[in-house]
Amino acid sequence: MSLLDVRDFTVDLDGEEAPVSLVRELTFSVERGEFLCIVGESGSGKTVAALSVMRLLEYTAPTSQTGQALLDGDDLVAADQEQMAGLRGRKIAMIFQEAMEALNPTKVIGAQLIEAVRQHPGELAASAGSSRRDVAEAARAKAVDLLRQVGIPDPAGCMGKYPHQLSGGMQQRVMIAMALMCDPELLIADEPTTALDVTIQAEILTLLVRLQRERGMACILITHDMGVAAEIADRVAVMYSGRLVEIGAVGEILTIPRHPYTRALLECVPRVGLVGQKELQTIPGSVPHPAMQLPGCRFAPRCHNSSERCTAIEPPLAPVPVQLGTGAGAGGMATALRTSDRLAACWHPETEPLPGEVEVSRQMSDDLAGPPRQAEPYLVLGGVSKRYAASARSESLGSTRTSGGVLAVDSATVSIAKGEFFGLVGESGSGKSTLGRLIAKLEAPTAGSISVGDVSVEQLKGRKRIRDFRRDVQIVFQDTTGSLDPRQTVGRSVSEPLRSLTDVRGEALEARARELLQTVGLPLDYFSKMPSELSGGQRQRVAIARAIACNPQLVVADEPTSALDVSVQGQIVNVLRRLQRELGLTYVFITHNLSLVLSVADRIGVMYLGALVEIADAETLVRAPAHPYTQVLLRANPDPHNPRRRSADGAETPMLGLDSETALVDRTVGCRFRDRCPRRQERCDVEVPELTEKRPGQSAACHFPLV
Amino acid sequence: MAGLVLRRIRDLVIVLFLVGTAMFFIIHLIPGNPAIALLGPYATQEQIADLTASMGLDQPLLTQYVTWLGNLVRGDMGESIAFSGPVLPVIFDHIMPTILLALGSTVISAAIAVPLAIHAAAKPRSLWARLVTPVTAFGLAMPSFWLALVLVLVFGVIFRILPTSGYVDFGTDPGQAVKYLVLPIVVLVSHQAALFVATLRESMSGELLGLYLRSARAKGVKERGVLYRHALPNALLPAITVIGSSFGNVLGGVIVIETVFSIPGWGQLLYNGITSRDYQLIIGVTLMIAVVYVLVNLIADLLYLVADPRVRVR
Repeated sequence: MSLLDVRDFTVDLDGEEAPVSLVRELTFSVERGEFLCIVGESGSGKTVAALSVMRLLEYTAPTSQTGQALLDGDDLVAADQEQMAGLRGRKIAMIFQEAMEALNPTKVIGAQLIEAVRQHPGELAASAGSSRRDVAEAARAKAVDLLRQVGIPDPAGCMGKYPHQLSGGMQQRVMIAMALMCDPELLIADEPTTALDVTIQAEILTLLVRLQRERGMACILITHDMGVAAEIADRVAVMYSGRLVEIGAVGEILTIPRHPYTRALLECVPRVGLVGQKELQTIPGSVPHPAMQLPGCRFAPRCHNSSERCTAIEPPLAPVPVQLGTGAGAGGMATALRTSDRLAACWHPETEPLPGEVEVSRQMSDDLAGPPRQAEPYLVLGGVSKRYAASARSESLGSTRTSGGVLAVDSATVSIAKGEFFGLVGESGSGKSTLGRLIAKLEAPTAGSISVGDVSVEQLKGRKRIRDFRRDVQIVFQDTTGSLDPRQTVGRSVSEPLRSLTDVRGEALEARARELLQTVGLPLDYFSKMPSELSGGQRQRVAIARAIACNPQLVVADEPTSALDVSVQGQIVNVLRRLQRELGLTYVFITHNLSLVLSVADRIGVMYLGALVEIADAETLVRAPAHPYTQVLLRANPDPHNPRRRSADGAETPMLGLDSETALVDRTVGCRFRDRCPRRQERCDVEVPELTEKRPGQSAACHFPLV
Repeated sequence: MAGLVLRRIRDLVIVLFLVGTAMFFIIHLIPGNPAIALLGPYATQEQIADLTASMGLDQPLLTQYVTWLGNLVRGDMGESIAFSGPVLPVIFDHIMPTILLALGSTVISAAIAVPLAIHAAAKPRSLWARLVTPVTAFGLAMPSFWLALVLVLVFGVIFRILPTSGYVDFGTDPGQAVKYLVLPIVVLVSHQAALFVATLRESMSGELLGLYLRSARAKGVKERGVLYRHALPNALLPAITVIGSSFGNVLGGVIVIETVFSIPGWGQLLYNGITSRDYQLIIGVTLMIAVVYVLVNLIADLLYLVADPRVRVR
């Protein structure tokens, strides 16, 4: 019997009117010792399903569930909350996305861990004797032991710390330890690594797999990232609009997706190495709202292969027959398929396997439509630094002290050609966003020079000249809810720069604003809508329209797609690239998403703790990175097209992410990456490496580069 | 933490200077002469002039102010006319009833408000949650002297269960002392508890959205523990500030209540001081109220520091 057996599991949101099914007739099972990943975009119902199995959703939303969910014989649908409290933590535990939010801010870590055992005293009493003191002692010992197991450097000291004193990665480790306090048989992890850097994500995933294998525990991991699923799952379940659309073994799903949505989702993930080859894949349209009644398949309106049958009758989840096209014969993959555990809800399942790793030939990349490499520099940074004062008070007083505080950007030097798509990547805290804000003159650099065209940015004085500069340089931000005025219509937001920076008025202004909406691919009737009526992707289009309103030369795009689903991400990047071709824009594209930047940028600057450590074109970076840090980033990047293989014990070579310790490295002596570097030698401890050219077109700040 | 205390002490000096100065001039703007008030309606013109001169009241106002300020800096708050002695001991003699009323009503209000607020926040569809807004609004809007008079009428005059006015020291007869304090405290609590419930329910409702509560439930904590052990301590944080800054209102309420119930505390002292033009006493009591107010807020800030580890680090 399966550990968790979910059958026809439906979650209804009881509203004023008819109940809305957030999750509909979900059927799947999880075996002991199995790692299942539930993948889907936002709105797919994956988190709702998990929270409802835990019966946690009903505390914050008026939901009810029907169907069946058996956990080792216990009926999770019929149980009351009293019984559920007895199961939660003991047999089924859960970890969440935002560890900082998910830990009580005013309780020390130790108390929060021990509390988990205190709810289920039977768990420890057997081994620890009967007296209360013994149990408390045993609980404490167990907490310290678990903190050690999840990789906290000083477990005993950590017990007395508060959550905010730990870094994001450490907080997530604490969450995991807390979930394991009563040795649950099933662990549900809801996007546990989404808010973390790729390197830390790799660490946490390795840890989860290791713990899962060691304990023979079952795991359900919810993620939007096919790359994550590819790396750790035994089986993958794909959800769309509240339905399970496909489930099967991970290798099969990734290579031969049978449901068109699964396939589209995989194709949307940018392929590293396909630099500037073609438009990024997208899925047209958006996920239908749960309340929307659709008679047929909910994916049909977005599907490239939908028939009348699809729009009339909803396809059930059924075993998919193996009828692969002739191209799939290679390696006997098709014959290895067992139809019984491969299910898809589709009338016309896909038959072609996904293309394997694409080799980009030299010749192809030479045909790139990108700018000539030796074009004259447009944006030139010369030793740009930014130091933030230690406190907000001294910052606002304009402290000019050269020590103390945080050196967010440390002597960045680079020149970017006109019409170039320049990517900036790095972990959080690398200073990439700060550099973007310095370029856009939203903040003033502490030292160094920035010139855009023939304008020296740091010496820009006078209202008119600053206005001229603002016309030429614009910025697009990550968070669209924050960067668009919620009380201004789309039309007003888009025309605002025209009003404040140009003399365009009246009808011409409105005409221009409408033209801009068209340029970014928004319907004209959006002109009078409010930002809250738009989806995230649409809002980002508005932000882009606003940025290009005055025909700028340079656009700084600060993580414009990181809050968006992968299918929408492609749409936004395609818009940006089309504008680049049509308007000759120069981009500084800031992101933490390596797959994305490697597939779209001409050149990429890698930042680490404030400094540019490597600059090269995307292809060179993928094939032969020079700086060990770039290699670390590349290795940590989850890529469903080329998943990292994990050895039997679940752990690859351990890769240490940036944590509070390594971030404190003394940057004035030696290499700032030395504490994390596998190639560290004595010279790295004493001599600061300069950014120098290692090969034509590739510079790195490293004494012992990889090339 | 030491820095905070030092800053607050500096603030206290400034507050005392401003309050004292303002009080000094406001009082002297009021027509009337303490000498006349002191000597009564049958005094002769010479007697009044003599006394005025001996009290220094014939000097120019600015000279009087400088003298007064100089004395204050040396810790001399002047002589009370009504009590014919230094002001400070008089004020300390009357401190107990006021402290009992203010502290007692605050503690009782908090004790009542916590469960009411939690219930209203945790069960937003319950009858109490629907009633809580009008009920607290009523408590806040009702004039305390009116409530005091009604209570006196009902429990003191009609049912004769509780004394209508007066005060018994705890040292002499604790039972009687409590009896005398019941009505005044009920009046104060009705206002304060309403304020606490409103504030705490608001912050509790916000805290109930906290994702850490979901984590607590996920490890099997039962609902009672979720509310009282996890949500409440966090919801109390903003309430601490509100309680601290509402303490000024409490002191204002105490003054009215003491007058209505003839309780010999600072309120009555102030009231008597005003009617008898006892300038030094009025300023003295006002300054002491300012001191208490600043100190209570300092305590609230320190409590916040202890309760919220995130603030402590800064």
